[in-house]
Amino acid sequence: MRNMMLSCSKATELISKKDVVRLTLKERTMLWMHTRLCALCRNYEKQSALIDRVLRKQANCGEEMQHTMISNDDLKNRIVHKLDQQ
Amino acid sequence: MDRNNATGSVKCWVELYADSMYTWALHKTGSKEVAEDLVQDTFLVAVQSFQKFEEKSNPKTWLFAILNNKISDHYRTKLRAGSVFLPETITDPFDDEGRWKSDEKPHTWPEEGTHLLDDGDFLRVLDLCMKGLPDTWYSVLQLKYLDENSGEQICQELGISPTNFWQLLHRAKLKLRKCLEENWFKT
Repeated sequence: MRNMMLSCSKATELISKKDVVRLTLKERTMLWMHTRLCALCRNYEKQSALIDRVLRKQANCGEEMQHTMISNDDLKNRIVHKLDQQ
Repeated sequence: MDRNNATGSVKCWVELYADSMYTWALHKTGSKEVAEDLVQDTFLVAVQSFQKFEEKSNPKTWLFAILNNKISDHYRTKLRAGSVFLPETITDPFDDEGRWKSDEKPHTWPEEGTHLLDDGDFLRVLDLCMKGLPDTWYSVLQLKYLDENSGEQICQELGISPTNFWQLLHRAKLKLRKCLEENWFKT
């Protein structure tokens, strides 16, 4: 039984790992047991999921995000010139 | 659709969208030169594959999709070229027994705002925290979330093991979490 208990360090590793590869049944069980008992890692798991959502949205919704627009007229002229040459 | 027609439309899009594309690319890459190259490449691709663009769809969405691919490519190349996958030193948030150190414990965050991403202040904090990450980690995060590919595909492309990949992601996330907690959720 004692061997089945993960440390917080290992538990948080599994939380990241499960996002990339499928956990084994043993890993899933151990993680489940750990988070049942450990409020800190439960917090961490929630926060990790929130960070995932935030980063995914931040990465893919570029055009909707409010960044102060930087205009670059040189670039525009250069591109138009390039297009004409094509 | 003939070539002149394509060039004409795309030139018009340059006027309309190049600035917001440049702003986005600059934000994602942090480099003026890289951002300019990526935006220019995007428009060149747009002319070449103009027939794939359906009139019905929104040109801005289409252009941003191409641009985001270019940004992914950029990070992919960068990571491949760097091949520095050695873990960079960070303060380990855990003690020797693998328990959270007392000043690293994850606090309960206030009710997570669903509108977090509409909050300009939060975005600025997120940005700062991201920029504070070591270069490789930053690239890995960008690739992971920008790319629609699965983690396993990304690993294959980069030629790294899934273990390497998730361990990098893990370290990056631990650091990001701490930074967000200290600079946003705690205050």
